[in-house]
Amino acid sequence: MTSRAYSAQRAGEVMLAAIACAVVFLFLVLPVAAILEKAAHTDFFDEVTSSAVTDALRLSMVTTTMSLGLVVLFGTPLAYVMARTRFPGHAVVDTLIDLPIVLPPAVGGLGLLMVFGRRGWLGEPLDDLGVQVAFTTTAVVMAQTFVASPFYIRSARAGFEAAGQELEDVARTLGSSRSGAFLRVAVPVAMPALTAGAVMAWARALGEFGATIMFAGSIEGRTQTVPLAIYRQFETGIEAPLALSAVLVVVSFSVLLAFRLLTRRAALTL
Amino acid sequence: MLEVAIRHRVGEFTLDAAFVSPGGTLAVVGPSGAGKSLTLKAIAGILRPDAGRIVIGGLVVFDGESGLDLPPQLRKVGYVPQEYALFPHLTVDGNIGFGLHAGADRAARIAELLALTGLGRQRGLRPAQLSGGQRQRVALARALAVRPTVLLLDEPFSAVDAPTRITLMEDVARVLADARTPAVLVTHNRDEALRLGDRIAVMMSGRVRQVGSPSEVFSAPVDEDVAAFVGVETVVEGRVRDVVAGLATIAVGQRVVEAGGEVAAGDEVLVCLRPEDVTLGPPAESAPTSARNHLPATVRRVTAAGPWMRVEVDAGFPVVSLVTKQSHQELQLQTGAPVVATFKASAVHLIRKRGR
Repeated sequence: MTSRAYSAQRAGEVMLAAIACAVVFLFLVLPVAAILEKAAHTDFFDEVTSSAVTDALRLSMVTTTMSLGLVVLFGTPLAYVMARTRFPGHAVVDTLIDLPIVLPPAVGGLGLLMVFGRRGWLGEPLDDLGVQVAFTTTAVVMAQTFVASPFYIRSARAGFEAAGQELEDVARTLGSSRSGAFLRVAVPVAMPALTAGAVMAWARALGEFGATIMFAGSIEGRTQTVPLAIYRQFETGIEAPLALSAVLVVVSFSVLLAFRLLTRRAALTL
Repeated sequence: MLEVAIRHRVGEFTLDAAFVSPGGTLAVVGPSGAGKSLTLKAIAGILRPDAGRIVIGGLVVFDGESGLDLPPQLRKVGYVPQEYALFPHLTVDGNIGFGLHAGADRAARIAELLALTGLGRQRGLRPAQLSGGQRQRVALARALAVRPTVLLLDEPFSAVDAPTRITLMEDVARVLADARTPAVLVTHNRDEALRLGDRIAVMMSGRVRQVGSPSEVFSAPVDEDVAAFVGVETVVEGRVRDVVAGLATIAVGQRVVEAGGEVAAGDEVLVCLRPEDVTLGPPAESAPTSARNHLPATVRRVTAAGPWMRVEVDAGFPVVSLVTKQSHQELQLQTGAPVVATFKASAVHLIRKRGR
């Protein structure tokens, strides 16, 4: 290749990279920057201290923590079984686990309503017992758990697969029971993947909108999480949604960045 | 004492392994895919065979008929898998102490094993920071810490490069001897088997074909497959009398053999000799040659082997020689005929078993 042809190719590559950067800038950076800049021109502190906003923030924190707890509690054993065993229908179960990622959240919400709503399969007998699930804080947690679980389970499964069966085999020859080997070896070795999955699942739960509004409604203080509050406030003005959005942007960015830095350090010390 | 008799099917492959190890180190040698690793896993309790019986030190750990299948944690075996499977999240200390119960004894036992394996300075490091040889020693120490009845080693040298392998074999031989723990070592490498095995089991396509001392297996393979794998060789035990300028004088039974090799007086060695390096001649002839070893012998057995005749002679110990059919006729090498077996000191391959 002549040096002229080479420099022409090189210029082409630089051009392509520049276009990619410009597109990313336009679609990712600008909207985020616009929210922060516009929010700065609102009465930010008055807005974020209004009861509707603090209620939404508190509710989001409480519900996402609970749904993350549920996802980890039930998702970890499931991910482990999926990683370690092969059974007829394994691929079907695998696909079912991933389904909420591709399904519109509104469909998930509707499905939950058909099961736990007052006329639902389980909702009706529960209603007879005086237990109501739909349109309560419990429903918010269930909706979040439904949409967030695949993110955790996928990552956890990959982590257990990477950790391998052999470490547990050795642990068992050294006196551990199956569950002992799981807790003392599989879980700690897969921990980076478990943490990464948990962060992604939590982030997904925090942003949850569609399933929640179908199954839990938007009741201030009970089911109105931050994304729902943003949408509700948007009907009356732009100030409050901007302030809430800015809070969400800052919190989400901080959590993801902190996680990045923490896992990098963990990788270095390993 | 270890007794194994198991059957297991994996797809098209059938494992049908039976052998007994009275103690010491049993080297299970065979080509890859022979079922060696499966056998170890079955002894460890990680793999449940379809049928059979496994007894470790008098304790029945598996019995297909009664359905008894002790889980690994009750079998008292030390298992060292091929890539060592060290716990990446734990330090050397943490790895060695994994199977020990909390308490004052734990620290003492860890210290004992660090001393045995010479890992004192690495105790705070994680596996990723160790060399291949150090990892192997951690895996050994971790397995020995729980005082197993039998130690199971799966291809312990496959994960290290050739130059370090020799040193590591010395280390492992020493640790095994010091720990006085019976071991089963799986390998596809003949030298490793000869170097470390007190007894050798040859395993091919799922079956144990021959079990015996190194000299029995290597000098008298039971069938052509085993012979092809081990290479027909003379392998006899001897003891180094003295070494002068790198030339060792070795007592083999009532005879003396000269050979080169890195050995010291008093060492127990295996004297290995390839049949193509052994010349047979008439007993009277004493024309001077450069070969250092001339042993009067008697022909024991003659068999055809392709274009050659395989002649087994008794030279105070069994020696095998390959000669042409023509030489066989000219020298009249019938059973009982007296001959002189000649070979050069440089043709003798010495394997050091243990120092004195």
